[in-house]
Amino acid sequence: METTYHGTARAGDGMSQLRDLIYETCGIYFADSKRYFLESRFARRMEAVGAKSFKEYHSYLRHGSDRQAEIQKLIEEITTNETSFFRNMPQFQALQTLILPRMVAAKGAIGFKRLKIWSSACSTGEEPYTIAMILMEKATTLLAGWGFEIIATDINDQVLARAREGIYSEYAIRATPEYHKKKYFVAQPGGSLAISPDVKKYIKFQNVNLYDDSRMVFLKGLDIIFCCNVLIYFDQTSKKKVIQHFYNNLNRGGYLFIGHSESLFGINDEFKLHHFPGGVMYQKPL
Amino acid sequence: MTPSERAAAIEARLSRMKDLPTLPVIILKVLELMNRSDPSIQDLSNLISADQVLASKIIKVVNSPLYAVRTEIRNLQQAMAYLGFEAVKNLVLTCSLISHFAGKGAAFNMKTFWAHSFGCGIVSKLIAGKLGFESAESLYLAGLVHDLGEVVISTAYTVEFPAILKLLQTDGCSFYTAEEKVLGYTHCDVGGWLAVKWRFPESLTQAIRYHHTPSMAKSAKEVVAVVNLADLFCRLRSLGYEFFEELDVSFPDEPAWQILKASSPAIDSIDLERFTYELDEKMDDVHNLIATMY
Ligand SMILES: C[S@@+](CC[C@H](N)C(=O)[O-])C[C@H]1O[C@@H](n2cnc3c(N)ncnc32)[C@H](O)[C@@H]1O
Ligand SMILES: [Fe+2]
Ligand SMILES: [Fe+2]
Repeated sequence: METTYHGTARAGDGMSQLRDLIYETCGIYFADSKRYFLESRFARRMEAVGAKSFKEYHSYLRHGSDRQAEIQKLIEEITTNETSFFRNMPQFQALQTLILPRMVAAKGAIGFKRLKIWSSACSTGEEPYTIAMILMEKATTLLAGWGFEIIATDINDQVLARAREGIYSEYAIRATPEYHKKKYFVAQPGGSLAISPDVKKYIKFQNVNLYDDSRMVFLKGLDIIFCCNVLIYFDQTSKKKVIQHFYNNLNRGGYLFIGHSESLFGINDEFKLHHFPGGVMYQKPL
Repeated sequence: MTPSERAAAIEARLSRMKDLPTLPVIILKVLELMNRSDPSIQDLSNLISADQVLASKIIKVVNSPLYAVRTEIRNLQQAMAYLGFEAVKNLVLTCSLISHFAGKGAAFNMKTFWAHSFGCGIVSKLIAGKLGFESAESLYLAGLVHDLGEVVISTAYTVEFPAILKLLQTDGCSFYTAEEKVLGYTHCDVGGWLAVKWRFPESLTQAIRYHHTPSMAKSAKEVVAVVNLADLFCRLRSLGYEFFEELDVSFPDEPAWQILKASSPAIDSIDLERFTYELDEKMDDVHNLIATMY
């Protein structure tokens, strides 16, 4: 018998089927302790579609005519989109001082002057725009004569729309150095800031579900992947699957960044662990 | 420079120096105590009691989050009973070293220096514990003193030291590399010279001399290797010196790792990520503690 939290939730009431459906769809795993959180989020969507029980909502998601769109809405309801510019400074410092010079040396030697970077859970765009600013700062020096491309993806269409729009509050740019604020943002009426079109042009936003094999296999030839603060919501099994895709998607010698305090221990032992001041990164062996 | 050229250069420079740092008397006495076959807790206790300032510092440190004592420790007897001889001895050395050198090194932030040294002691002990060393506590001391040569360079090399600091900033390199460039030798050589002069136990001298080149150690190779890794961890996790160092370490590829692996194959099963994140909490405690000692 499952633990129940309030009157309407009983064993076999459809809750666990809903939880399984989320897991199968996007790899996000909710432990029993999150049940109350889930119930409240389901309740919002159930009201919107007029489902009277978890069971009914579950069958709507499985068989309803509008099921794809509803699953998308449900996922938007249960995911965390918290992010900011320069969220993890040591990571960007490592990108700039360690990785870029190394890649330029290695790829430059074979005359292939292109870099492809993927921000794989980009939320409202702060992470890929930060990466773009860092590369742009090197455009006339280290990266002179180089082309670069940033692919930014997320499962959530709402956040992607906001990322494409590129309008941010003071709060989102709180960790941004003054220099970058002046150079790469345009003040908007009302106090918000718009990311400049020069930065935008380097980024391609797309909807990609990290748990969807059919999409993951097509992202190839990457030099650097960022996958920060999303796999914490996955379980070991679903993490393993995603990380294996990243491994395959990377070029030899390419790097993977994950969030602060996240770990691949026991998830993948093909990647080589590197420590830099303030963080770790993983390299696909050469 | 060859090892003998280095030794000669240092000898020429340091032996005519008038105000070389001296060791506080209490440290000499503790080291003497350690050389005895059965140092008693009473001897140690007598030493500390003679210096009330020191005694109260020790009590303060013992009650800091680093030692995670369950009930407040009020006096030396309780501290001894709770922590044991080795740990208290190490505390005596830590507190007296830090206060002895507090005013030195005008060109250099001594607080940062001691936070790094103290952190290195703690991490050395943790690594030794992970590897199942019997004398994990004794590794603490090796970590604590590993960079002592830096105290001399920062105080006595008034012309060269600013040039070294400058290189750290412009090149993002380590002290070791900058010193090689500016002096032709490093804090390891200088510290080693001093350790011999001060009659440090051999394992400490080795750790001081070879913590950046562990494969060259002549003895106590494992002690040196542990200190080498601890130093890397500290520099990687906010207990380095104040400059961003372009450091990229893959631990299993480090010579020190290979040295330790020979006797402790279990080293390869350490969850390095978790270890790193656990260290971060300790690092905060170290910063706080050092702040209270100054
Ligand atoms: C907390 S944000 C992280 C944003 C950014 N990477 C950072 O570290 O600041 C997590 C993002 O992961 C997305 N996400 C969750 N599950 C996903 C999946 N299966 N595939 C792709 N994105 C997913 C969410 O929509 C959300 O925008
Ligand atoms: Fe050193
Ligand atoms: Fe050091």
